[in-house]
Order: sequence, then structure tokens, then C-alpha cells
Amino acid sequence: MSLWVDKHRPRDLAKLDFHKDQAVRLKSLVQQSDFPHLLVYGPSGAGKKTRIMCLLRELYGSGVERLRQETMHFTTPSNKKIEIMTVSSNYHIEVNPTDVGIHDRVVIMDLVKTVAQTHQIDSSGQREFKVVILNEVDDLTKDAQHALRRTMEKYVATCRLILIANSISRVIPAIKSRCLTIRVPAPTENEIASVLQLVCKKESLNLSSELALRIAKCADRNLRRALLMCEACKVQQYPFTQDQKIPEPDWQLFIKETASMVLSEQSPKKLGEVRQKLYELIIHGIPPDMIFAGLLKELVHNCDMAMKCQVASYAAKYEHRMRLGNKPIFHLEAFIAKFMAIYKKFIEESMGDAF
Amino acid sequence: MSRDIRSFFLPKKSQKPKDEDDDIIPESPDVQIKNKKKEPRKKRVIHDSDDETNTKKTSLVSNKSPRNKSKPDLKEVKVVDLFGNAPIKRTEPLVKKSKKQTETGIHSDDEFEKSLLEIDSVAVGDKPEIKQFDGGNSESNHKDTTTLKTPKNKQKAKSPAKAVVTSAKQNYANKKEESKLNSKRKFSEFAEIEVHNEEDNIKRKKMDVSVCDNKTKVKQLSEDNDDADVSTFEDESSSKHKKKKVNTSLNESVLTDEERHERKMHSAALYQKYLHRSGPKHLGAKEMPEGSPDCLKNCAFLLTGVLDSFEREEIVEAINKYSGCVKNAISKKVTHVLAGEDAGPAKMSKALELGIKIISEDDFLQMIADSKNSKNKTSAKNDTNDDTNNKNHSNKSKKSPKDKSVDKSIIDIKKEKSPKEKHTNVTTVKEEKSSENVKVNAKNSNKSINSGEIKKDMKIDKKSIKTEKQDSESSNKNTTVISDVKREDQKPIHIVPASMWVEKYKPQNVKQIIGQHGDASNVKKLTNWLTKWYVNRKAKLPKPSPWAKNYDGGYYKAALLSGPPGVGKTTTVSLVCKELGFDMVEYNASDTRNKTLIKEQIGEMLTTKSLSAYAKGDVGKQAVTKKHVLVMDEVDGMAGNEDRGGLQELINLIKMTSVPIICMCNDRNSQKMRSLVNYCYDLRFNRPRVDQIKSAMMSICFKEGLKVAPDVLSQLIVAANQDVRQTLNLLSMWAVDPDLADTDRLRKDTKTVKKDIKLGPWEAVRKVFSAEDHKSMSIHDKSDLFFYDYSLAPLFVQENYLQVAPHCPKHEVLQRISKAADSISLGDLVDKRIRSAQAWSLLPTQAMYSSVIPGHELAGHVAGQIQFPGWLGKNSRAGKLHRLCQEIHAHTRLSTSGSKSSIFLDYCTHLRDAIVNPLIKDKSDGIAKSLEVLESYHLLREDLDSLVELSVWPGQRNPTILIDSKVKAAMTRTYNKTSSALPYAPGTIKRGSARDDQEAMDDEELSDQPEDSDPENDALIKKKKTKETEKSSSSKEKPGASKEKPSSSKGKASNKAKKK
Repeated sequence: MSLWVDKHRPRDLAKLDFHKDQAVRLKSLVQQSDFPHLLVYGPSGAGKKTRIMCLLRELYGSGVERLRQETMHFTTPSNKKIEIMTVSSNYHIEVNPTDVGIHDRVVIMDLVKTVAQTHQIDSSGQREFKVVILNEVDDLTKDAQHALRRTMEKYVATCRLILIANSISRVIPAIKSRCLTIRVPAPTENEIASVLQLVCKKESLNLSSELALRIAKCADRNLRRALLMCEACKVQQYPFTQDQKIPEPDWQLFIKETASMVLSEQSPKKLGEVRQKLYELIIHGIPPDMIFAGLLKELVHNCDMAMKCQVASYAAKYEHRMRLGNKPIFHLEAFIAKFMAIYKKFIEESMGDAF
Repeated sequence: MSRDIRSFFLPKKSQKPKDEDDDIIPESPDVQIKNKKKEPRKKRVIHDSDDETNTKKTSLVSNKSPRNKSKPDLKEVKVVDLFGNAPIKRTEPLVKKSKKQTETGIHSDDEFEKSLLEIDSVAVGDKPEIKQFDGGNSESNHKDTTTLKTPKNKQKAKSPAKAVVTSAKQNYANKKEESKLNSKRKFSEFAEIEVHNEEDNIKRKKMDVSVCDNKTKVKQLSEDNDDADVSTFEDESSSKHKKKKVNTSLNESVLTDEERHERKMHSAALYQKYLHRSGPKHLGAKEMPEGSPDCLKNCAFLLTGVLDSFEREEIVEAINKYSGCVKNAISKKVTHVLAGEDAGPAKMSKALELGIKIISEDDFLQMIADSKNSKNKTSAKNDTNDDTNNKNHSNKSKKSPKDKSVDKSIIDIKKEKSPKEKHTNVTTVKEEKSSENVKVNAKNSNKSINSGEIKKDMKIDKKSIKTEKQDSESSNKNTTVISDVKREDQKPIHIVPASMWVEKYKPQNVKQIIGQHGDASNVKKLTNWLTKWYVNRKAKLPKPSPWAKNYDGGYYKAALLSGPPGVGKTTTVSLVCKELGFDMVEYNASDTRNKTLIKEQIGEMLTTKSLSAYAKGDVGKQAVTKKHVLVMDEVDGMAGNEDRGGLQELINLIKMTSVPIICMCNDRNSQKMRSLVNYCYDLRFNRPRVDQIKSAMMSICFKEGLKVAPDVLSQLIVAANQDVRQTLNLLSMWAVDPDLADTDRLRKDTKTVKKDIKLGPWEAVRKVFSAEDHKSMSIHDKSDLFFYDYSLAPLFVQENYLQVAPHCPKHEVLQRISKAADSISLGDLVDKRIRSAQAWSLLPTQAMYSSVIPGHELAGHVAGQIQFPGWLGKNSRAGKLHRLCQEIHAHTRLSTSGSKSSIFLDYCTHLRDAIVNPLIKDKSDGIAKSLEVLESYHLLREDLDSLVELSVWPGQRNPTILIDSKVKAAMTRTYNKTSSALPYAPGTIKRGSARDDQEAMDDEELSDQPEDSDPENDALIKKKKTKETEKSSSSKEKPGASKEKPSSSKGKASNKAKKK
């Protein structure tokens, strides 16, 4: 028994619940029997992957759903053996090059080459190209991205690339220009609510639209999260009530906790404690940019407008540095220190005014 | 004999400066050295001489009588006759022998020995004179006046030392003629000490019974006049006497019990007083006067009580500065007791008992201040004194014109000393002695010229050598002697930059290696090992335990000498080999030592015979030797491409070698040496102690005429990390540049060198934030703190900057911290740049951002303990969780769509709950449900634990605790029973090990089929289905499919294993 989120995933372009016009466009694209490289981007939980799988099914038929996992081995120029897990069907192969860290270039070059250099023998009734799906393209190293752009052109006859990214800001323009970029925006809250109700109906449960909306709000327009939360709600309490407590993800709670610590006291000692919390977040694999975003959201609650701008700009500054740097904790801490300094000054001034 | 005296000056002084203060009263040391050495010789001479009884008699008389009295006793004309040629001839060879023995025994300086031998050979030519002199010497001491009167005696004195002796005689005679006061005046420079000395000597004279001792004392006195620098040596016999005296004095003070008790009480009271005593009352009231350098030489101080205006440390420093020494306990070595308020009564009484001068603080300051003045005056004074001496002399001994000359030469000595500070005093003495000698010689032939020359000497000191030359030309007879003398004299004086000091003063035999004298020394061990090597090979010894102490290494075929550079490893080996007659085949880092080379070249070489002896002209069996030693120097340098496989081959070589192998390395604990050390006899060289190096260096400095204060030298040695070679190099640099040789600058230099002490990251980070240290640090010094360990420093700073209490207004603290944090974050950017682009030139920039700026912003002090950077631990933990997550992601990939971070953010909690909740709620009934979830996501049992680890946050309860342990066990059991097909290979099983045959696998698959209800999950079935199509359709996918099979079979294999 899978979780709802996987159990009720649509498998056909026609069955997609939102962005239906986009689905239609994709369908027409595929029906032309050929399509360019795709760069699909959008926030997580918007249905990128689902959409791509539907597209492939449209393209090759149900054969693409016969998946298998393989471990592939590569050797880096420095003679280091690396292995990477791939998911593939007869018609496509999906890989997550960032799994191997800085050696992703080797994976991209070798994998795409081996796939692309082989033609389909039985091309009757089949497409003459295969599809390579690369996940998390925005996290690829620059080297890998550069390696990609030549192969994209060279093997265009035998293989199509579908690149998946959260944001294209870190994808080099050379790749962007070679692909048809498809943005999959996050579903609106209403869309999520309707999906939730649909799912509940399938599970033969009764979900009020109010609660569905509340869950959608909580889930931050992330359909995956919304579905998981909805299921968690069901586990917690069924039948649903109107004002039921929606379990928030632990890490969000943790970030909120951290932010309230910062607001409660501004001192070097407190900063030291906050550092431990930040470490904990990082250890648990929460992407540091999400930590930044979460903290900023919580911290600006108590600020006036001028200060809000100031804090936001600092958050942006340190997040930028974090991307350029090695150790996220340094930058998170610098941001907190800065905020503490500003906030304390602000408090003192306002106190001074009061007296 | 006479040469001995001279020659013993040098090395004795330089080699054993430590021993100098071995015994009691400091006198001018030259004398004492002479005493020691002369004793045996003199005895011989005395025995040989006909008038043994005679001398004894006189000596006895003289012993009993004070000086003035002894004089008339000594005046006997007889003795002159005794110095005839005949008896002296006999003694000559004896003298020579004894000389050689003592010298080689005591001196380890080869060069020196050589020169001695040369002189000896010359001396053989001059036999009669020497003999005569020997006799004369012995006699003259007893019967000064008589000897003075005998021109013969002196005329024959040709070798330099002879001259000294004669001069000594003269002085002694002078002294006798003069009153004590006179002598005091004469040696105003050392007035007090000398008075002491004289008194002591007189005292001793009384005690001494032996003739020779008596003689030596006379000489001591005379040498005191010479103002030689070599510090104190007591001749043994006299010291014994003294000790006896002390003992008796102690015995006398045996106390009754009551007295003892009283004394105890008293001392307790005193101790209380001592504990509560105050500091200096007028601290800083007086200024330490400037004295001339070395003005306190030969002075040993004992400080007691509280001084009026100086801290004890200041005084100690001052004394050390002026080359004095400070003693902790009272002994005869102490020359002055510097007493302050509440001086220890025990010390004072003892000082009185020993007749040690007790001085106050003011006296002490006066001593230093006077030294400056007196030094300037001494020469003049000496002149006048000596003039008067001369007069006296001329009055008394008009018969001998030589007296004059000798006296004048003494004046020369004094004169020269004061201006010529560069030369150590002893050298000048030497020089002068030789010049004296020359003069004496010259007088033999030509008196008139002589006087002129002496005048020249007086005028131009520096040309003394030249005048010597002239002398030598003028005196036909003694040219050889003089030239020898010259050679000897010149050697130490002029600085030869021709050869490096390191080479020049390389030890020539085993004994000269610094710090390798003891029985347990490495030299000894190595010698022992090498000599027994061939024997041990036949013996077949068992392998010793690695903890065995003092093992002689019999088992090992190779020795590994390890130790820091510059302690003499290579030297030791070469000398030991030389000594044992082994042929050294040396390979060092400059040779390529890779596998093939070692195997072919070296291996070959070791089986061949050496013909090196042929080259030396040996014939017969000795010429051909098989005694090789393979010396692999700097084995830790055997690395890299060049020497590939070298170490391994070396080990092989050691295993089958037929000759001893000696390896040398710096760090035996390094990774590279790991394998080698197991095959080698371990000899570890430690750094020699500072004083060991110091004494050797002093001797070299002395030979090179470089004047270095002892404390500066020891600082230098410490700064050079007790590296002998380094110290020598530094010294030779100083010697070349006279500006550098300025003592004060040397002091400063050594201080700057001292700074290069390695700091650990803890101390470094403390310094980074220390406002105190910042005051004295330049920006370079601050950034240097970063470079002690540039990889750890930024982490340390980041970890600890919050603990700093900055010295600033309180409201600024947060501002400053945020600035520091900002700088640290910038530092991280630089770090990334450095690491990713190998832009190491950016390190200084990083130093600024990561260390200097935060340190500057938060200058204060670190309030807490310095913590080790937590980042490292956190990072590795983050890495671990990432790995777990990646594994889960990989396992669930077929059924989920999210990326890795979606596992972290969304899935893990829900997945965990989906598995755990049924177990908690429904107990064993929920097992099926939770297993279903596991299966549908292709998760392993272990993944559940990973999930829990991922999803539990600090402060949260682990939900698995709520599961009944029985349920948990039951769940694990059922999980193991139900073998689910996995679409991937569980990571723990090695590839290729479980290659099941096709049928078994098919069976499994068939049995699995009904279980897999979800068509999406049964990847294996699909694969099986696709297999046929793959085979027909695409050749490309075959490898993938074939790969797939074993992997799935592995999954099953593992399951099977679990079932069992």
C-alpha cells in the first residue's frame, strides 16, 4: 500500500488535474512525432516529473512504465570508480547526476554518449530516439553543464534530453537556448484543494473544502506535501473535522523555533545556541536556502517596514554568499548575527523613544 | 713540555667551560689547567733530575714558610749547575711521551693534536734546550731567585711556553720582591679576586706537601698576572686538601641535641621570616650601571636576602650579562656573596668561614661601574706597575738582561689585551707568549735588536706577528721553531672563509661527536652492532620483542638511524665505519634509488670486493676487503616517481643481504617508514643538550677568534632547535660579518629567531582574539597566526569567536560580532575560490577575512575554553544523513517522483509514520500493513532505521520506542520470511559473488509473482518479460539486462541467507 501521493498519481496527460492547457500543448507536441530537448522547471511538488512520465507514456506507450533500476559504473579521469543508480525502461533512462557530486561531468558525458550512440534497431512503430532524463540540472556543476551542451547537439538524431530543474537561474544560457523550456508552476491553493478532495473521494473519504483549503495553504502550494499532510491528517483523526489540527513538517517547526529564539534574546550566547540549531537543520538535509527563507519569513514578523527591507536585503546578500561559498553555516550565522545587531539596535531605539 | 702549557690553553678552556666551576675558588684558569697537566710531567722531571732530594727539601721549607720566607730558602746557586746538559737528555723522550698521552687522552681536537705533534717534532731538534728548560722549570719554581740569576737557563728557553714559564717565574719573583700592596696595585683590575687568590694560594701552599703542587701554585700566581681568561680549575690535590678542611670544619661543629633543637627552632623562625619577607624596598631607585663586557668573568655570586632596589632576577640577569655566574648554594666556587636585608645566616656564616667576600648591593654596582673605568685604566696602570717591576727587576737581577725583556713582554700582553677585544684573551696571551719567546730567542743572538723589537711590539700590537717574523729572521737558530709557532698562532687568529665551518670542524673520530659519549649512546650501540654483525648472522637469533630495552640489535640485518637533522647521524655512521674498517657504500637522496637500481646496482655492489685498499697502496690479503656497509642515507626521501618501489626493494635487500645495511631517516614514525622499521635495529638520535653543543661551539668560536657571549650562544643553540649544523652555520655567518658579531645585536638576533615557535591552533586562536597580544603584533604577525594551520584556523576562529569578550562598550558587542561574522562569511567565499580553483595565492586574503579582521573586531580575550571546531563533526554527520537519504531515495525511486531533498522534507516523516503507526496501534496485527508499505516502496528493514534517524529532530521522541519489542521482533521475523523482490541490489552484498543459476532465479521469480500485487512494483517480472524483447530488439540493453539478473538474484540470495 503506497501513500496516497504515489498511489493516485495520474499516468496520462489527459488525466492531469491542473495546467490542463499545458497538457494539451504537450500532447500536440508529442503527436508531431518529434520534439526538441526539453527543460522542465518549476518548484518542487508542482508535478514536473508526473507530467514528464505522462509525456513519455504518450510517446512510447505503456512500455515506459516497466521500469528497472541499474547501477552504472564510470571511471573518472583521475581513475576513481564511481557508480550511479539509474532508472530506465526500454525507451528512456533517468539519472540523477548530482548523486556523484563533483564527478557529474563524467556521468553526463559517458551516459549520454552510450545512450545516444546506439540506434533503435526496430524503428518501425517506435520513435527513433530515446530519452534521457536528467534530474536536478540546476545543481549540476558548471563543467557538467558545459559538457552537456555539445552532446545535446551532436546526438540530437538519436536522443532527446529532458532536463528537470527547480529553477533555471543556475542553468547556463547555452543549455537554456538549446531547449524548449517548459515552466510548471506550482498549483494554486484551490487547485490543490480540489485535488485533495478528488483523492479523498477515490479513497472514499469525505473531505470538506474548508479543510482542504487549509491544508493547501499549509502545504505552501506543494501538492506532494499537501497530499502527504492530508493523509497524515486522516491518520491522526478521521472523520475530518473543520478545525482539525494540521501536522506541520517538523523542520518547519524547527525553523520557527529557531527564529523565535533569535527574537527572544540578542546576545552572543544566544547566537551560539542558534548556531547549534542551524547545524541541526543542515544536518537533517534541509536545503540552506530554505532555511534562509523560513527564517526570514519568521523574523520579519516583528519588524517595521524599513527594517523588513533591510533584513530581507541582508538575507539575500548572505544567501548569495552561501551559494558562492563552501560552508552554509558561516553565512547563516552571519545573517543571524546581522539581524541580531539590527534588531537590538531597533529595540533599543524604540525603547529609548518610549522613555 | 713548554708547548703543552701553551697548547693546553685552547681546548681546555673551550671544551670544558662547564667544568670550570667544578671546584672551589676561581682563579685565573690557565694556571690551573697547567697545573693539572703538568703534574705528572713535572714529577718525572723531578725524579730524573739529580737533585730530587734537594728540591723536596726546599719545597718543604717553602711550604712551611710564607712567601717572603721561602725566598731566601730558594736562593741557592747550586741548582744552576744542575741544569747542565747531561741529565736533561735522558728526560726528554719521557717528557714527550707523557705529553702525547695526556693530550690525546684529554683533547679530542685532531687539529690541535697535529699541531702538537709538529711542535714536538721540532722540539726534538731542540732537545737540549727543552731538557734544560724542563729541569729549569722544575727548579726555578723552587728556587726562583736562583733561576732568575742564571742566564743560561733562560737563554735556552726557546719554545713559547718556556717563555711563559720564565715570564711566570719572573712575575713570581717580582711579586716576592714587592709587597702585597704592591701586587694589589699592580693588578688593580682583578684586585680583590687576586688578593683572594694569592691568599688562598699561600694557604694552600702551607697545606700542600708535594713538591709539584707547590710549583704549580707558583705558576698559578704567575699566570694570574697574565690575566688569562680561562676559568677556574683547581688542581686536584689542592682541592682535596680544601675539602678536607671543610670536612674538618664540619666535624668540629657537631652539636648537642639541645643545641640542635634550638637551632631547629631558630631556623623555623627564620623560615617564617623568609616566607613573609618583603620585596625590594626601593625598587627601581638605582640604575644598573653600564659595565665593560665580561667584567664579572670569573666571579661567582651567591645572592642572599632581599636587596634594596633590585629584584633578584634583575641582578641575575646583570651578572649573566657580564659573564659572571650565579650559584644557588654556597661553596668554594663562590667568589662573592651579595647580601641584602635578611640575608640567610647560614649562608653568611659559611661565607665567612670560607673567606668569601661579602658585598652589598652598592658594592656590586660599584664593581660593575668600576670595571668600565678600571678597564680603561688598567693598561696605563699596568704600564706603570710593570715599569716599577722592571725597575725592581733591574735592581735585583741586573745580571740577566732577559728579565727585562720578559717583563716588557708581559707589559705587551697587558697592553694588547685592552685594545684587542676581538681576540679572546687567551689567544692574545698565546700570541704574546710566542712573541715573548721570539724575543727571548732573539736576545740569545742579538740583544740590541731585541730591545727595538720589543718597543715595536709595544707600539703596534697588531703587527706582533710580523715582528715575530722579523724576529725569526734575525734569530737564525730557531727559525723552525718560530715558524711553527707562527703557524699555530695564525690559525686561530685569521678567519678562513675558505672552507665551511661545518666541514672544517667535522668530527674526525667517534669521540668528537657531540652528545654520543655514554655507554648507551647510539655510537656505542652502532659500533657494537656492526662489530657483531657477522657473528650474529651465524647465530640465528630469535626476533626480539618490540618492547625489549637495550637490545643490541643482533637479530637485525639493518640499522635504522632516526633523528632530527643536524644531530650527526651521517657523521656517526661514517666515523663508526671508518673506525671499524668497513667500506661505506653510500646512497643518499641525490641518487636515484628506484627498484631496479637498488636491485641491480646495489645488490651487485655488495657482493663484490673492494679494491680501495689497493689504491692506498696495500697489498696482499688486506688490500681486498669484503667488509662493506651499505649506507642508505635519507631513506625517507625515497619517494615519488623517481624512487618508485625503492623502499620495498630495500626491504627485500635487507632480508637477503650479506653485508650490514644502515639506513637513516628523520622521522621514523612517518607513513613511509612503517614497513621499513620492522626490519631495522632502531637507533634513535635525540638532540644533544644545549650545554653539550655549547661547549663544542665555544671551542670553535675560540679557534676562529669569534667572541660570543655564552648566554647568547645558548640562546642561539635553542633558536636553532639544537641543531649542531645549523648552529655552526649561524656562527660562521656571524664570524664573517663583524657587524653581526656585536654582542648586543646577537642577543637581539637570537630573540627574533626565538619567535618561530610553532603554535598549536588552540594557542593561535587565543592569540587571534587577544587584545593584549595585538599590541605588539604587526598585521603580518596577525596573519601569521592564520598560517600556523590554514585549513583549521578559519574553523577555529568561527567556532570560538562568539566566546570572545571584546574590550568595547557593551552596546557595540553585537555590532562587532556581526562584523566579524560578515568577515568570516567572506572568508568562506575566498576559501571556496582557493579550493575549487587551486588559487592558493589567495590564502593571505583568506587570512585577512577569516582571522585578522574577526580578531581585530573582537579584540579582547577569550572568556571560555577554546573549543575544537564543531563544524567537522557536524559536517560528517550531515554527510552520513545524506548518504542514508540517498539510499532511501534510490530504493524508493521507482515509486516516488521527488528528488532527494523531497525525501528529507516531505517523505521521511510520513513514510516512517506509515510504517510505524500500524505497529504501535494494532500491535502484531499491524505488521502486515507496515510490511506492505515497506514493500511498496522497495524499502529494506534497515531503511526503517535510517528513516527514523532522518526524521527525528532533537527534542523529539523516537516513535519506535513506542513499538512493543515483541511486535518489533515479530515484524523483523516476518520481514525475513517474506522475501520480497527488490528492483535493485542491496548494497551490502558484493557483486558477482552470488551468481545463481538461471533456474533458481526463475523459481524465485515465479514464487514472487503472486505476492506482488501492484504491477508497478514487480520490476523483476517486467524485466523478465522485457528480457526477450531486449534480446531481439536492442543489443545495447543486453548488458543492462544481464546486469540486472545477478543483482536481483543477489537480493534473493540475501533474503535466503536471512531466512536461514
